[in-house]
Order: sequence, then structure tokens, then C-alpha cells
Amino acid sequence: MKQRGETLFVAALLAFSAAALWESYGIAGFSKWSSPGVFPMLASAVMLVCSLFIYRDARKRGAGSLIKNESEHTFELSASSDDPAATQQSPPVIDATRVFPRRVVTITALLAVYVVAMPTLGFLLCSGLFLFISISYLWNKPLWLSLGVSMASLVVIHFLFRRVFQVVLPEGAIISLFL
Amino acid sequence: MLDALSFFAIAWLDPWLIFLTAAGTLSGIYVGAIPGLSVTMATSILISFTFKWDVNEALALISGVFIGGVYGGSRTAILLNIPGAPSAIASALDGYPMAKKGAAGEAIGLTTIMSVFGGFVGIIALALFAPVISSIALMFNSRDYLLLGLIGITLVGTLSGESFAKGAFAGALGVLISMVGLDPMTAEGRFTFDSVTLLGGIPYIAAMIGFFGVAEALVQLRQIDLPVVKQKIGRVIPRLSSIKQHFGLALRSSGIGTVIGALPGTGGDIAALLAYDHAKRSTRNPEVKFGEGATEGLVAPEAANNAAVGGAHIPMLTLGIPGDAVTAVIIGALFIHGLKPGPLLLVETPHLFWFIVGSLTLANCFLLVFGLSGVRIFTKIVECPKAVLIPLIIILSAVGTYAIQNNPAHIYWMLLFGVIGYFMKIYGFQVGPIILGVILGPMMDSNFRRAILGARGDMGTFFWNFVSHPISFILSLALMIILMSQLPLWSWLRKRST
Repeated sequence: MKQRGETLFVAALLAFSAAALWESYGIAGFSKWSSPGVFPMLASAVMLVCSLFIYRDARKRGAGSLIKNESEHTFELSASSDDPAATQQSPPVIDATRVFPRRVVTITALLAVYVVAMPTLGFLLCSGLFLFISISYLWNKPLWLSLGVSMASLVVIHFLFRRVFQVVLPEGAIISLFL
Repeated sequence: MLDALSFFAIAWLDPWLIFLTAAGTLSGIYVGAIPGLSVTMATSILISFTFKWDVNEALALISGVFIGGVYGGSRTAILLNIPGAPSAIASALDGYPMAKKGAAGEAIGLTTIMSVFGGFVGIIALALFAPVISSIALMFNSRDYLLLGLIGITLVGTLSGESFAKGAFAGALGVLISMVGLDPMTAEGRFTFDSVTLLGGIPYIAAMIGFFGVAEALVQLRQIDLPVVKQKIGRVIPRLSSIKQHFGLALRSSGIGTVIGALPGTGGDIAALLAYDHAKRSTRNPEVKFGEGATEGLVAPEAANNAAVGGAHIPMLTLGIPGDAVTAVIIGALFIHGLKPGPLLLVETPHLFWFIVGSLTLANCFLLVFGLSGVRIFTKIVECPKAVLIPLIIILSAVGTYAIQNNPAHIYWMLLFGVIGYFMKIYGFQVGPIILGVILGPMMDSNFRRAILGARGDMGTFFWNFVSHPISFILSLALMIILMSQLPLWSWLRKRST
């Protein structure tokens, strides 16, 4: 079944594939079959042809609200129609009428802020804030519990990766000023 | 032979390596079991931390995670009806009904024994057949490698997705991502847009973590409110009579798993589904109906998906072609450690091959121990709320991406691929072929151009070589059959014949 926004997404893929094909052609044109642009041209041509088929299929299908992630999709394949018992026991179907639910938008925005702020604020402060804000937003528990879980997780991650795995984590420009 | 044994024993004699294998197996079981955490995700994050380690240490840990993770997925499939990994999808069909009838412990015990059995069959096949395939692969030329790469991407696109077009698109997108940067043969820039950052290409670890870690975490946010189902655990150690009864099926399923795992691009999930289908067809009078808690429906997929681990290592180590998404990530790890998987790996670094066989065997032994113990504690841990788990996955993904080169730009790539991967997943695209494309792209590009240069630039000779050389002809034929099977004409003919 088609999901909301699928046609738009596939149209974006179609445009991207066409742009990639044009850009690949710009690398060396059709000068030689062994030129560095030929394989990118072949790859983007495959993408373009496939996205045309996907676009056609997306337009053909009726609007629906079924999410299919990797596991669920294959699960449905395995639970064949001749086996009603198996079909009855498939995992719950998730309502996905909203393609980008508020929760996903919020966490993605928080992640974008986290990624941009990390070089300035440093790993510890930035990750602590990210964990606390996102856990308290997603978890319906008292704030002190979210704070406790965030801090405990941060201590474990820092010890494991800084001390055990010896990963150099960004200290942050602001922290460095005070050190 | 003695050399092989001594290399095999390295993983068994060094206490630190034994500890790493055990730790990897135990954490793999939990990673595989917790819905939202996948083995591929864990392996790709792990590689970013272990690339500075000694190669043996990194491989011991990764082997443990791989073996444990493939098995771990079955735990939540049985207890919660939520497969922790795609390879455990078939296990939920009969495992969960067994648990609902109060036989969760028995189901877990039987799963463990059969997974270990399947794992050993796969490892034995790896030890026996990899050297043979490797010596045949020495006869392969650039054309054959191009064909193998194409077969791998096409197969994974064919078997794992909603439609072939989506699978092929994802594979081609992966190839395109791998083309960004300086061309290794002519040093010409490709898709660099005069940016110095893009000259070095797109870091594939960032792509892997973005597609498998961040994208999956974002998808999981949509399912955060699913209620947790609790099961009672009874006797875990299965009865000897039950093991004896299913021995034949387990052996056949392990064979299926090994062969399917060894095909480039196919992994444990497909092996498990085919084995389940085989069990359904070959079991005439099951004690309990399939789909209602038949033990055969649990034995077959579990033996097959763990056998596929050994099988998947065969094309990876002998041909440099990943057997599935996890081995695509492991190949990345080998590259990072300066190794080049392919037919010469067994000639130049036989110790590495036998070490991998040794650590997989050790991990399989640990699987038996950890699989049959701590089941009750396990049920508590997997109840960890997703609201806590998802932010943690995101932090781990960011740290893992940053750790490769201490470059914040890599985290931006991770974020971008995470968001793209999220949309692709919800619209029914598979991200596995993308990673396969990223890994195989440079290899296919260089072999394509070498094959053309070998034909002196003449396209007629280039195409003729595909049919005039026996190995190329067989591989071309296989590719043609795979492609033909996707045509509407094929499904029409199949419908007519049935």
C-alpha cells in the first residue's frame, strides 16, 4: 500500500538520479569506455530507470497507512496466505499515516543541534544535555529519574570509550578556554 | 595442516582473546535480542572503536558479536513476538505460540542447541570449502569479479525488498556514494564540486552507521508505545529425546543455511525463511500445527540462520564479496586493518583465515553456555524502555562515527544518511543493498575498467569475452537468470504452470 508522501519522496529520488546522471556525464562524457565517468553514469542510469518504475508503482497504488520496515515486511512474506495461523500472529501493524511524526521531528532536530554544537560545547556537556532532554521528552517518568539515567549512561559511555577504547572525544572550544 | 591448527588455536589459548570472544558473544546476544539494536548496527559501531586495536582482538570481538547477535534475535521473537533481528523473523512464527502455551523456556533451550549445531555446520563448511573456492577464485579475472559484484547486489536487491526496482535503486545508490572523491586510477575528481572535504570521498563507516544506526533508531521512535508482553520461563535445558527427534531436520536446515549464507548478498534471514518452508513441506504429521507452536518451525530457521554465519564468511574471505550486510561491514573492518579479503587472503595471510575459524568456533561454544543460562535476567534486561535506549543508540552512533578520524564532518554525513535512511525504510526500501553497493562499488568500477582495457577498449571484444570464457559464461548466465526472474513474463509463466 502507498504511504503518505511516497510519491513526493520518489519524485525527489527521480530528480536526484537525473541530476546524478548529468553530473556523471560531466566527469568525462563519452570520451572512452574506461574513463572515470562511465561507471558513475551506469549507476545513476540504473537509479533513474528504477526510480521511474518506483514512481509509476507509487502512483498506481491506493493511499493507505501501512508501515513496512525491513523485518515486518519479510515477516509478512513468511506468513503466507495459506497459513492463517501465522498471519494472525504477525506483529502489530503500526499506524503510519504521519510520515514524520512529531517525536521523530523533535529527536532529529535535537540530533542536528547536538551534532552542530558538539565541537563548541564538547562531548560531555553536549551528550549530557542531549540525553537528558531526549530521555525526559520520550519517557513519561519524573525528571529526576530521567536526569539520573542520563548521567549514569553518560558516565558509563565516557568511561568505556575514553578509558577502555581510548577514543579521543571533542573537549569543546568553550571548555578549552577555561582550561 | 599443523600450521592451520596452530593458527586456529590462537583464539583458544590467549586469555585476553578468549575474554573478548566471550564478551562479544554475550553482548551480541543482548544486541540481537533488543528490538531496535541490530547486529549490523552493533558491528558497524564496534568497528569504529576497534580499528586501532590489534586485528586479532578486533576480529575476536566482532566474531562473538556476529554469532551472538544472529542467535539473540530469536529471544525476543519467542518472548515478545518481536524478532530482534531479521534472521529471527521465521522463529517468531512458532516460537511465540510456544511461549504463549507456557513453553518459553523449552523454546529458548531448543533454539540454543539448534543454533549451536547450525553454527558448527557452517563453520565446518567454511573450513572445508573456503580453501577450495579460494584456489578456484585464483583463476578469476577482472570480468568475473565485476560479475560477482553485480550478482551480489542484484541478489540482495531481489530477495530482500518490497520490489526489485527498490532493491536495484538502493544498490546503485550505494555504488554512486562510493564513487565520490578522487578516482584511484586517474586521480580525477568525481562529484567533488570543488570541495576539499569531498576529495577524500564519503566515509563509508559514517554511511553504515547512518543507514543502520540512526535511521533504525528514528524508525523505532514510531513504535515506542508498543506494550511489553511478559512470559513465564519454565525448564530451559531441552530433553535429549527432543534433540534426537529433530536431528535430521536440523542437519538439512543447516545445509540450507550454509548454502544460502554462502551466496553473495543473501544472509540469515532468507536462509531461515527457506528452512522454515522446508520444515513445513518435509514434516508430514507435526505434533502441533505450524504457526501454532510446532517445534519443527523453530528448529529449522534457528539451525539455518546460525549456519549462514559460517556460510557468509566463505564468499567474504575467498572472493572479497560480502555474504550479507554484516559481512559487508566486517569487510570494511578488514580493509581498515590493511587486509584485502579475496583469493590471496588464504595464500598471503592463512593465519588470519584460521584465526577467524577458531574464534567463530569459540564464540559458538560460548553461545551454548550463555544461551542456556541467565534467561530470567535476560527477560528483565530486554524490557529496557525504548525511550532510554534510542537516545543512547544515537549517542553511540555519533561517538562511533567521530572516533574513526576525529572529524566532526563525518557526524554530519551520519546525520544526513540517517535521515535519508529513515525515509527509505518507511517507504519500503532496503538499506542493506546500499551498504553492499558502497563496499563493492570501487571493486566493480576498477574491474569494469580493467576488463575494458583488457579488451583494448573494443566493446565487441569486451562483450564476447563474457561468453567465450567458461567462468565468465557461467557467472553471466547466473546474472541473466536472476535478472530474468524479475521480469513480469517470468511470474506470468510461473502462474500458468501452477
